[in-house]
Amino acid sequence: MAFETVASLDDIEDEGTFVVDGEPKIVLFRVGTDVFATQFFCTHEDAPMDDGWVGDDCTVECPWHASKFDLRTGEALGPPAFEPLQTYPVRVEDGAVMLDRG
Amino acid sequence: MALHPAPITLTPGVRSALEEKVASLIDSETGTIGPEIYADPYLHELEQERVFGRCWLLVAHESLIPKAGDFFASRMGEDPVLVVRQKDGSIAVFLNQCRHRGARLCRADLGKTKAFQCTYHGWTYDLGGNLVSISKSDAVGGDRIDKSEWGAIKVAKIHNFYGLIFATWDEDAPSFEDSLGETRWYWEAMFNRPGGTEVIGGVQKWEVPANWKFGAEQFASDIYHFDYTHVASALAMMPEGMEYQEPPPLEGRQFRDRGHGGVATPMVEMSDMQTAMAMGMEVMRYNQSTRDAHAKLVGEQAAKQTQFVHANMFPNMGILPLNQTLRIWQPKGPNAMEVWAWTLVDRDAPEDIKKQCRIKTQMTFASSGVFEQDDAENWTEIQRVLRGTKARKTLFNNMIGANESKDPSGKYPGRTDRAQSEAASREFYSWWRDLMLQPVQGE
Amino acid sequence: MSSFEMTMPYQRPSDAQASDMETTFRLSQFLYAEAQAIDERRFDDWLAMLAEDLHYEAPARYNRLPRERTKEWASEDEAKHFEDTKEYMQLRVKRLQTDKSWSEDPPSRTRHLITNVQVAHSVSANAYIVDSNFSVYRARAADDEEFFFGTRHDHIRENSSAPAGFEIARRTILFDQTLILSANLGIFF
Repeated sequence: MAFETVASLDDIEDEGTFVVDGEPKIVLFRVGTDVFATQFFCTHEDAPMDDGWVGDDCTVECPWHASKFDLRTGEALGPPAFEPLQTYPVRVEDGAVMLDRG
Repeated sequence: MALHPAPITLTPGVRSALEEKVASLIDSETGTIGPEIYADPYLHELEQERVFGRCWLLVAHESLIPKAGDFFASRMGEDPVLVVRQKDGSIAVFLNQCRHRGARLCRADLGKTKAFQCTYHGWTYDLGGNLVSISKSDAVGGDRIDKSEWGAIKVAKIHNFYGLIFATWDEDAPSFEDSLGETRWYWEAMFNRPGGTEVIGGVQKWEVPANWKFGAEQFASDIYHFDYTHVASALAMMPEGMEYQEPPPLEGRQFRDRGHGGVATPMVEMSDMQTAMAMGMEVMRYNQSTRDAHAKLVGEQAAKQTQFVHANMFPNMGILPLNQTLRIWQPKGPNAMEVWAWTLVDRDAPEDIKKQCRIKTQMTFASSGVFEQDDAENWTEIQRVLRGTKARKTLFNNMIGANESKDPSGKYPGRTDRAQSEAASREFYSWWRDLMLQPVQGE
Repeated sequence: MSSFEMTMPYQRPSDAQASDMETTFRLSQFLYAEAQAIDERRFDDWLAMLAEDLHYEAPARYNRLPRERTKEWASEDEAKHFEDTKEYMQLRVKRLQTDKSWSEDPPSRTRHLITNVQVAHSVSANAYIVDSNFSVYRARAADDEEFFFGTRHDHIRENSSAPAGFEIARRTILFDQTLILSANLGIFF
C-alpha cells in the first residue's frame, strides 16, 4: 500500500481520462476536482475505458456497449455489464494526483 | 409519398440485355433520350452498380464532422454509409451495415460517438469501421472468427476536395482530380475560397417523386428553363418599383466533360446585381470584399470569369453557387429521389453574413424554396406521365444548342458552349451511357 | 445525461399563466379562422393576421443517438424549412397570385385540422402563448396526396386594428417528419 504521484490534475481535462501504464494498467477519470481510478478494460467485453463517456454524476459509460459504472464504487449500473470495475484509491494533493495500485 | 419498388438482383444475361437497351436509348449524336432510363427498375439496378458503384460521390462536407467521433450518416446511391472523423483527424467512410446479420449499424442521422454498436447482437465497430467486439465471444465461440476479416465494408478511396468529402467503391477509379477532366479549372475556382468553406449545420432532406437524373441534368446544363419555370418567383422577387424585363442573354460559357457540367459567367456589374437580388445587399458587399483574396488563390483569370450560375458534378452533386445551395440528389428507386441540401458559405464570413445566406438559400432553393418548388413540379409531372407505355417509348428532345466545344474568346478553358445550351446535358447522358456499358468489378 | 423526453426548440416564457375559458375560446376561434383563410386560399386575409414583426420558422429535425436526443431539433443558427419574415410571406403569396407558380397550378386543396389548443398569457412576452396541433391534408391534381402532422408554438397578440382582433407575431412549426415526404413545402402551416 503506497501512494505514488502519477499525474498532475492539470493533465486531465474535466470529464476526461488519463491512462496510467504499468501493472495493472489503470485509467484516471476527472470529475470537477475529484479524480477516480479504475481498471483499464471494461468487465464486459474488454473495451478500453479511457475512451468512455465520463458523466458529471461520477459515472463512466463504456464506449462500446454503453454499460454505466459508478466511478466511486466501480458498481455496474446497467447491462450488459454485471461485474464491477476494480477501483483504486486516489488522492489529490496540491494539484498532484496520487494513486495506490495496491 | 413515392412508391419504392423492391430491389431486383441482376444476372449476367439480364445485364447484357440491358446494355443493348441503354445503347439504343441514348443517342448523343442527334441528342435524343429514351425516357425508360428514368423509369425502368432494371436499368435503375444497373445504374446502382455501374454509376453509383464506380463514380466518386459526395458524401459530406468536412465541416459537418469537425471532431474525432463526429459522424454523418450518408448515402452512396442507395447504400447507406457512415462518414466518420477519426482520432488522427482523417475521415473514414464505410457501409452502415453490420457484418453479422446486416442490421443498420447506426440509425442516427448525425452526431458524435465512440464506437458503433449493432443493436441486434451487439457486434461493435470502432470509428474506422473495424470490428472490435463480437459480444459474448467466450460463450459463443466468437474467438474462432477473425475479427480483422469482418469489419464494415470500407470504400476504396476517399478524397477531400476543399472540404467536400468524396468516396468511391471502385479500386480502379481514376484519381478524384483526373475524374474532373477538363472541368477541373471550374471546380477549383468554385471551391477554393479564401479561408475555405463550410455548410450551415445540419441538413435539409425532402423526397421528390421523380428520378434523380432530372435534378442532376438540369443543374449540369439547363439555364434555358429559368424564364418559364421560375417566372412566378422572379416576378415576386422583383424589388418594389422595378419592372420585370426579359433577362439579357447570359454571357459566359457552359463547361462540360466526363459527365460534369455547369455555367460560368464573367464577373461584371450584372453579377453584383444578380447576387444582390438572390442573396441581398450585405452578401453582395461581402462577396465583393473577398474578390482580391480569391484571385490570389485561383488566379486573376479564373476569379474574373467565374460567377457561377449552376453546376452538377457527375453523377449527383448539384450546386447553385449564386444561391449558395449545395445538394445531393439521392436516388430512391427509379421513381423518386431524396434531396439533401445545405447552405454553403465561406468559413471566415461574419456570422450575420452566414445568417443572411442561410435565410435566403432556404427561401429560394430548399424544401420550401420558391424556385425549388417549380423545378420539383416539372420533374414529378414528367415522372407521372412516364407511367404510360407510349410515353416511355416517346423520345425526349435534347438538341438545344449546337456543340461548339471551344470558347472563341479563349477565356474559358476546356470544352465549352454557349451558356444556354444542352451540350452539357448531352455530355451527361453520353457519359452515363458509357458507364452503363462497362462492367464494374464484382458484378 | 440522456433523456427520452423531448427537448423543445423554443423557450416557454417562465411567467406564462393558463388563460381563462373565454380567452381560450377566442384564440381557438382565431386559429380556426386562420386555417379557413388558408384552406380557402384567401391569402390576403391570412397576411392580415400576421404581425409586421412576424417570425415564422420550422427547424429541421434529426434522428439522434440516445445521448444526443437533446439535439433533435436544428439549433437557432442551423437549417430550417421555413425562416420567414412578413416580407418573405408576402413574397410567397405574391408568387402564388401571379398565376404562373406551376407547383400550385392547379392549387393544392388543403384541409387544416387544428386541435389540442392550449392558451397561456405571458406579460413578459406581451402575448398569448398558444400551442396547437395540426393535421394538414393536401390533395392536388388527380391522385397526388400528402399528409403533414405536427405541432405549432405561437405568440399571438391582441391587435384591435387587425381584422380578426389578433395577430401572429411568432410561429414555430414542428413537423413530425425528419425527411419531409413531399416534393415541396409550398403550402402554409
